[in-house]
Amino acid sequence: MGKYIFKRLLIAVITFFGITVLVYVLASMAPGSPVEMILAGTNNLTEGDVARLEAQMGLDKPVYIQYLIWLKNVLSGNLGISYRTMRPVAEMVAERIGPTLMLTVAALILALCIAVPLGILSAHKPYSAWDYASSVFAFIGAATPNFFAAMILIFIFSIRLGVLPTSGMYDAGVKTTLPMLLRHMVLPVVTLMLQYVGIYTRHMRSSMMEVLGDDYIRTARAKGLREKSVVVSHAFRNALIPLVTQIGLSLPALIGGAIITEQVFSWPGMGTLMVQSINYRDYPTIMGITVLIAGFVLLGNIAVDLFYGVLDPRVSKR
Amino acid sequence: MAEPILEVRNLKTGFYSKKGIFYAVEDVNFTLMPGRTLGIVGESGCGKSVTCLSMLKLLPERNSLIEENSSVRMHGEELTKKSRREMCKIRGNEIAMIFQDSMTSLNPVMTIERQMVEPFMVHQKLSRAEARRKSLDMLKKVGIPSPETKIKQFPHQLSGGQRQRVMIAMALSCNPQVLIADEPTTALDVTIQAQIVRLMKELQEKLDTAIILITHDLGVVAEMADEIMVMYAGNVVEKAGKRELFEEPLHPYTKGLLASIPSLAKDTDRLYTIEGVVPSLQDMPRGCRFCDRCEYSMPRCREENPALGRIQGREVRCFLYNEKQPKEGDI
Repeated sequence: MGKYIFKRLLIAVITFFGITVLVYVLASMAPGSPVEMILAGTNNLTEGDVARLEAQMGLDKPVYIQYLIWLKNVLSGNLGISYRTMRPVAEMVAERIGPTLMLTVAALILALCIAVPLGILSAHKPYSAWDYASSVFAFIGAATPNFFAAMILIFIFSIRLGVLPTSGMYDAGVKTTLPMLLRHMVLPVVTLMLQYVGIYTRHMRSSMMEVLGDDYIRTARAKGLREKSVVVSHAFRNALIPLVTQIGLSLPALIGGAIITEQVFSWPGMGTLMVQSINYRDYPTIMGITVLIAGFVLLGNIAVDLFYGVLDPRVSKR
Repeated sequence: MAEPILEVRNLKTGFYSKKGIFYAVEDVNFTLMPGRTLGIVGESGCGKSVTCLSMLKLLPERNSLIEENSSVRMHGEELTKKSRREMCKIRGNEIAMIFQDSMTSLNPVMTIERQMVEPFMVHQKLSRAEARRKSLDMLKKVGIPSPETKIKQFPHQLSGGQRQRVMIAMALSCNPQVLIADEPTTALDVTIQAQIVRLMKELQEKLDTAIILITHDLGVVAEMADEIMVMYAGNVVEKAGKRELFEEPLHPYTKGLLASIPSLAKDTDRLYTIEGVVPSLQDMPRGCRFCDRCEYSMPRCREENPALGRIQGREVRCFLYNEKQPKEGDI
């Protein structure tokens, strides 16, 4: 098991460096120089001024040297200065991580809490009325785009019923409280999780149905176990294995979905910051966020791999 | 004579399909005596496994059906009418089953211990610690080396022979009166096969268990069975004591089966085969199900399916032996 973890970590670290190289090269290839951006609107500029600023920012060096300097800074926690706000990127991003994680983690956990039992019940009685109902629900969820679901939810719960707020984390000008935060979280979290409830339900159903047809399930039944313990103690763990893979695959999309959802609900997370930074061509911030998201996705994948090893004793042997 | 443990009468099991019900097993009758071994022989798809799974009601309820007047009696108690809950008390406790492929038949993500303690905890309501101790005893009984280590391992860490021993230990843990062994040696090496057969015989003598042995390996049947039932296309075609059957097979299908065993004594280039294929469930011939492949078939064979008739203390389903056969259904 130790060797397995070490291997996974090593692969993750290599992948992480690969991502930073890719992101840096892409950013440096983007049209427009940061120097022009900063000096735009300034009068009486000489060639010397531009060259001096370029040298000051290290932009006169070859790209790979720039990358190494940037990498050195990133590794020491310095993500650079935002062109837009002139504040350190690390500081700006740090403010936004919390709200984004709050949304995505809540959405993921809730989606699993709904999808897993739904999928198991469907698989237990396939082609029943219950199964068809949950399938229809799952397909609608999986097929509805984030922004559309968000609009519908806002229309129903904020405009028509007026029970939930449409944007932000807290009401303005009042003391912030936990219930207030939770109330603001409901719509974005539901929006974000809807698709995953659909996808995970279908996955859980199909893997559970497959597992229930396996030989060892017949053995468990032949031992005289009740159907409930057959499902819970014999089938469940085996059926989770493909679902865990699916969760790992959907992590990047979950964060991508958060970017759109945050924008719709003006949620002060990394997604909103990302969209603002793209609009202003604020490259250090874009890169800072990208690197951070890449880091999270890699960490998520390591967690998935480890969980895999826990679920299936054969995995860690390979 | 002792009371039979198990009596199967008119067993008829079908599967639903889009085109209606198709019967995989029809008119199967047999009795099982305590401590005896009944071998069920036949090629793949002849209904051997379906027969045994029907007895335990282990076929999926959604797409299978055991006909109304089928009867499976254990000590005179009807099993086909039992509820799911009642069947759970019988499975693994009074009738246990072991399966062909021990790799897929053991749960890959559970330790041997967790799988072995289950029958003890479910049927005998033992605590986990007691169940564990009993499991270790069982592992010793079936000859697993260093059971304390093996019990903590996962199925993939054991060899094929060891896994099959674990399966046997698990099946025999509650001292069942009947053990159904569905091709217990098929997935094993020949040397391991012999060990497993010997082990089953030893345990049978010790525990006085009756065994139903399903196999297509005539060698294993010859080794273990007291009585042999030959099945073809969902019907029992012949039933006889082991010696009688091997010395003088009556049914043309049985003759073909025995003739197709390769022999060192005979110097032949080609092995004997029964020409043709088994009819599919969808288009069973109206008459005898073997008539298309039979060397002895007569016009009558195509018209009606012979009943299982008695001759010299054995049973055979063929017009060659019972000219004045009673009509189908009554024996």
